[in-house]
Amino acid sequence: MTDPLAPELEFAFEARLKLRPRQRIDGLPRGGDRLGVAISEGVFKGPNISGTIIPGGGEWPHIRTDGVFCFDARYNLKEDDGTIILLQNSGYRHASPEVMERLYALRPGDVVESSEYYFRCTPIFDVAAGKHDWLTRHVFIGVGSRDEHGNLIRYYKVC
Amino acid sequence: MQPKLKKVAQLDLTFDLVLDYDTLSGQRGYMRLSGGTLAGDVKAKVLDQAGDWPIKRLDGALENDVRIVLEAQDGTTLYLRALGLSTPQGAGYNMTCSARFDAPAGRYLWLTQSMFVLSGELSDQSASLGLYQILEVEND
Repeated sequence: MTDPLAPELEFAFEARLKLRPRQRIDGLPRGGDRLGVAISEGVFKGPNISGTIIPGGGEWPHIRTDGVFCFDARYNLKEDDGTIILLQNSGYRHASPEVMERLYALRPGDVVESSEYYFRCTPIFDVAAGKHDWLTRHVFIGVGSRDEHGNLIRYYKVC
Repeated sequence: MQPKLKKVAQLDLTFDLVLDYDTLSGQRGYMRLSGGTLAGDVKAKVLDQAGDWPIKRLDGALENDVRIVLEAQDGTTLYLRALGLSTPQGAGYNMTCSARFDAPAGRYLWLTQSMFVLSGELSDQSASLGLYQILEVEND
């Protein structure tokens, strides 16, 4: 029996982010740690949209006491037609402690297969009325991977 | 408990990029931090990330949403989040924010044990803000 409410996903775009060196605050009073990671540059591309990521902004994840990274990111995208888009992102990254340690300490050439960890996010977009306002009327999920330079996140529209 | 403000530092910020763009949620902005200092009971410099993501209201005021990562003199990292309201004043704004810090255990732990007020002037190029600790005082 098919479920009439089962959501369908449609690829929207992928974003590659280069990240600046990580800042870290250990031992927060609430438990866990805080990171600050700024974005140095990036690009995004999909079937109906493409552009660059405006340097500045970044993410300030909370690392919970169970080791899960809870994302809290915001930055601006500039579409090739000049439109500016705000992206705010929440999400989780987690894996076994051994895999999380390898991800955290990535060195040039190191690869951790994305199947070894869970990296998912839910973005909220804001943009003016017009060609790109579909971003403000759909739910999206992002599936991410981490390499030595930064993040690659593929975004899917929930139809 | 009657709250009382104590000025503990001065926060001076500079911006090197100002975005101002229309969205379906209102007129949004981004003011990118290029540097700054926190001088007083806590001495720190602003690391080159983050900034303010204000919404410009129809009445001309800004609803500020600020995130700043700082490096204290001894290398400790601090994180400041502030929500505020800035009202037009001359070519700039009068800015007032409530603010809260993340800091590790140690000499900066006190920053995580109070709410703070940031208050001062904001322009497209810079901000000059007093950092006030909200002290709770017993009533007589």
